[in-house]
Amino acid sequence: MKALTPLLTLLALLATSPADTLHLRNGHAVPCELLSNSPTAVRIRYLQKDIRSVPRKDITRISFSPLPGESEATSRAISTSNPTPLTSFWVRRQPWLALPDSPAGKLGLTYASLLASHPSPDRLDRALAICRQIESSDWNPETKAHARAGRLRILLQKGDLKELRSTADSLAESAARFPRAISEIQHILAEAAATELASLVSSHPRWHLDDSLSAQHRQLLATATDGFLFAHLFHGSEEDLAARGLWNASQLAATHGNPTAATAWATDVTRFYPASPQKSAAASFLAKGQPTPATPQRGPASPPP
Amino acid sequence: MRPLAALASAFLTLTPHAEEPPSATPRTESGTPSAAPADLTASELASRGRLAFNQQNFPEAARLLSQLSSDYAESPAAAPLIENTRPMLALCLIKAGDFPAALELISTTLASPKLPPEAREELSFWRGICLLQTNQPAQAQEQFGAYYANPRHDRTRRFEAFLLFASGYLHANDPAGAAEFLSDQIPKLPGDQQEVAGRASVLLLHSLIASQQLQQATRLVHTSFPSLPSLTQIVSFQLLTLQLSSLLIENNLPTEAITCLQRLWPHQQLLSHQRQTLARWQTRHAQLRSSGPQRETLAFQTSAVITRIERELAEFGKIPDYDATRLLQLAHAFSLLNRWYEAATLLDHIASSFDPSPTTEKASLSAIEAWQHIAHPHKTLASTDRYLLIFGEHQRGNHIPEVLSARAHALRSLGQLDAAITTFGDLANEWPRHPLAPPAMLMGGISQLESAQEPAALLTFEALLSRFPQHPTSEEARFWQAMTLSFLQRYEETITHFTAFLESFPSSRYKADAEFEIARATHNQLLHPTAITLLSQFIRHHPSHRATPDAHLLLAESLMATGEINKGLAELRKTPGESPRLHEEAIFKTGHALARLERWDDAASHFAAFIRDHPRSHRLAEAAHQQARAATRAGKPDEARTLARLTILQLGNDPAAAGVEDFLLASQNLHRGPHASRAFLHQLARDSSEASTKGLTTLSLRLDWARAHFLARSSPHEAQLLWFSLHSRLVPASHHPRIIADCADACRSLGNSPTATHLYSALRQWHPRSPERERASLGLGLIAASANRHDEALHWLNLCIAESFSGHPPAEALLAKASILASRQHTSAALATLNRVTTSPLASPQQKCQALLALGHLHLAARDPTRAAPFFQRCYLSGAKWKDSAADARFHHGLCLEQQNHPDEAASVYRELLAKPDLAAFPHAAKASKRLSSLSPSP
Repeated sequence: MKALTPLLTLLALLATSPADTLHLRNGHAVPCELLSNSPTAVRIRYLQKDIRSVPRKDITRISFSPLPGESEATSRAISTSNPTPLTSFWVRRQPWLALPDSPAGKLGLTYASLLASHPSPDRLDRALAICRQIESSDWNPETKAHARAGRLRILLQKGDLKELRSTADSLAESAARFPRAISEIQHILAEAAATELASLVSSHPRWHLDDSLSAQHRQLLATATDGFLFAHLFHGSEEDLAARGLWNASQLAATHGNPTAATAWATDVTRFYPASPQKSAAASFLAKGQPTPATPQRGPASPPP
Repeated sequence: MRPLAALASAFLTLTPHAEEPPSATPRTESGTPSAAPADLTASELASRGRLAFNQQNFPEAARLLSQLSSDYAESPAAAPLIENTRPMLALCLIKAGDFPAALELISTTLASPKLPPEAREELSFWRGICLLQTNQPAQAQEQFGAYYANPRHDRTRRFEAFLLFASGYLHANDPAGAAEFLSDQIPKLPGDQQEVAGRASVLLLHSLIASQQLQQATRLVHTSFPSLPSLTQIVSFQLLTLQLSSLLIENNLPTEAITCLQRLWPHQQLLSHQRQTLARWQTRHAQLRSSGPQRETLAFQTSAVITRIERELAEFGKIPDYDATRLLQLAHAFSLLNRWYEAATLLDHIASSFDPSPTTEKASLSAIEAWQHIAHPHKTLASTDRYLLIFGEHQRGNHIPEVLSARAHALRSLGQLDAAITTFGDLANEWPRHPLAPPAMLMGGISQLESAQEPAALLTFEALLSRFPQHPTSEEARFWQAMTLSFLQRYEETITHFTAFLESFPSSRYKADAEFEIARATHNQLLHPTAITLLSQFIRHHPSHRATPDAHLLLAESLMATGEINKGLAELRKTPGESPRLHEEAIFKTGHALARLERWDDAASHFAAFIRDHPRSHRLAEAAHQQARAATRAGKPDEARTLARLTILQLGNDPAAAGVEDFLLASQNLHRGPHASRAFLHQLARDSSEASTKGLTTLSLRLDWARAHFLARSSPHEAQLLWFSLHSRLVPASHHPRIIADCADACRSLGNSPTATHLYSALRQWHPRSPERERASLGLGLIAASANRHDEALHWLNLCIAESFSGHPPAEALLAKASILASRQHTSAALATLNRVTTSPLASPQQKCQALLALGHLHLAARDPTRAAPFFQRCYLSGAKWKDSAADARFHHGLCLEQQNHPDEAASVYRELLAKPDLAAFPHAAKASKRLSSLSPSP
């Protein structure tokens, strides 16, 4: 048994052998295990033994490879909707957020979205903190934009509409270059408006008799409708987001007494997004010929890319 | 779209860059032929020609090698040199664009059996190119087909030959052939030729569009979309898609157009994607180059890809309006599907997101039209605001009058009449010659009428008629001018104007209205005989006109005024029941007529029948009052009381019987005198108890609420307790808002803020249009203020002030607001608010006294005793009966005088305060005494 131990260790080392690569200014590519980084240097384990510090100025870029077990953990976490397997990987990846090509941001977004998928106050706070960290530190502007969308969704889940509204405009502006992120942000804002609208209608059943409430109702309905239609109108190539938004717009119209628009938009779901999951619901809605009670679909249509 | 289409076609690199003649070394010379000595040997010419070729100085190489062929054509010794350098010369000719000469030379060279295999392969490929360029597509296809079919040829070049074969169809003006060929062949391409497959897809899309196979092209766009990111010529593909969308719209296929347009990436996304693709290929190219000569072929291939992407990027960067064009087309397609909301949203986006240009101006105008089309006045307003912001400055836009008109109509639809009037006026005044000026004046006048500005409306109509007497709007203008006179009760002029109107426009659509107005004005002038004639005529001629029920009522009045009571009553019975207001009015007029005839029993029965038949009428109390009056005049006061009580017991449990509360309060008048009042209160208590026992909760609630009202003057505290006790029985959704407000006020004054807050909120929630919502806002504001939640308090108090039904905000709200503002050191705002109390006709003397005192204190706190003194003085002079305020005001008036160095006058004020025994108990009296001592120290 004793004789086997070093062999197993070696096998384990080989099995988990790191394959990150430092690309140096002198043209060499150094396979290594990344240990830590500072503003001036990166510490690596070279040839599975030597620990070295490489000045940042000598590095052109770093190729990150999955950590041992990371891919499996990600698959397991997603398939079981359980964020726990990703916790340790996020902790290890997190310091590398700012480095170009680092996959930390995307891992963090997956982790945060899983945390938020089974919400408790603590989990939502953690997810929010992760999104904020990615927003402030990630190297990739698109990942940052998705983190902004993630933050808004968590604020919506927390019911913190005040902060959501106060940050929405600046977030939307900063994410405008990224179709999926801006579509998601607009959808979240629409959901927030639809939530407020539902609350207004339920708490003020005679809102239509009050001028200020009518104005508020009109404003919220327009915000929600425009937000839901955003992806369909401006980023129709993002078919999942566009179909989701269009269907929500249809249901919003049905709920708020506009069957003509509800029918038109449900028709458009079947017409323009025949492969979408919303198509069958829209078809059945049209077949019934009357609005079905529905609430806007919550949550992203798919995980961030 | 034509420039874009042309550009898209230009992107189709039918002669791939990969097929440029290869070079071994980088270009080092300028490329211009230099003068060479004529006496060079064949060997020197060959070697210099080869050198120039390798240095990519193709003109020089061509000159030297041509000289070799011509000078030494007859020399057997030079023949091998000439033969060896012929391929190079052919490539130089191709490079120079001399394809016919190159073709001839290549054909000659290929005929030589000694040609090395590499050169044969090279030249047979280029022969195809030359055939294509010399417009011999069939022969070129034959050449490329043979090249592609031979597996011994260079693999990369074979697939280039495949693409060139396909482009042969296009050269032969047979895009359908190209489409058929590519549709068949693309799926058969090997998996490692994705780049070629992508370029073939671009070629296929072009071919389908060129051959007008629009549905198939749409299908290709749809099916290719998932693999779009892998296309190296993605920009070409997307530009072709845009071109296809345009054709689909032209062919009225909006759904297909939208399908295509939705699969277009935004400009920025496309650029960013292609830059990333370029960077990837460049990295790969660098890696291949550094891998040594054995990867040179692949490096060469990637270099061609890089060139294609760079070319696309360079061309695409020059298209400034790609996104605007894409969105405009999308908006157009949506509008063809009658999806105006979508179209308008897109157009609004274009107008707001792109730099001002004729295109964006057109988009902005179209957005306004679309919002108007689907009657979205808010969106119309926003769009017009945007247009005026972007194009209105310095009147750059060409359509400001149209936009102002749309804006004014939207404002009018939203009930913002003052703004609408201003906008119509701006349009008419600033563009007096514009065709929209007369309609704007007309609508401005009508808006003035709608906002009860009749004199202004009259001026507007007169101005319109004098400025545009012959304009088609003059008919409407004259009608509304006469209507305005009617509103102004200038009946004689009304009749004159309507008579003239009917003479000028005998078949106007307003003819019947004008006739009715003449009859009404005559009636209103008390010219009853004429009115009877005119009204009878009107009823006869227009039996189904909307004014006919009114005409019946007026005719009845005129008939009764001339003593024809029975005829009048008969006319009243003709009032149709479809119009509840007029029907009720007719019933009341009938009752009044019966009273005038002193048929009191009939009148009492008549009103009793009304109460029975109209339990939910808002005129219930009025009917009960008339019924009781008739019974009393008939000498049956007890019967009147009994009738009233029975009515209440009968209707009182129905929450929807809206007049019961007024009826209950009015019924007190039937019980005059202390004894009757007491008996009435006892009766109410008994009835309430009995109703409660029977489970008639609403009736019981109403009776107790009314009892509290009758107790309020004599026993206010008891009344408060009674109102307070109602809260557990109240159903805010159905009970009268007045009961809710009274109960909530009682809860608040008795210190039960949570219940009061709940009731006030419920009142606003369920009765948003009731006058009592003002009381709810006030109550919520006062509760928040007492809990030091000042922001919330200001919110509710401001709402109360803004929503004031009477137009004069409640003084209590103003006082509370001023107090909060003062505590926040917002002195000016506090002073302004308090001044509103002092001038409010609804403020009670006590509230005015409080406001004066507060004004004095604010000025004093601002170290301005001169201004403060008169307020204190006015306070105690006008409000002496509120002793705490009076004591406070007198003392502080004294202080003000001291600070103004008037010690004698101050002492006098203090003495007056101390001389009043009813003020002696207040702390200000003691303070005044101290001040007086300090002013006149004892010797």
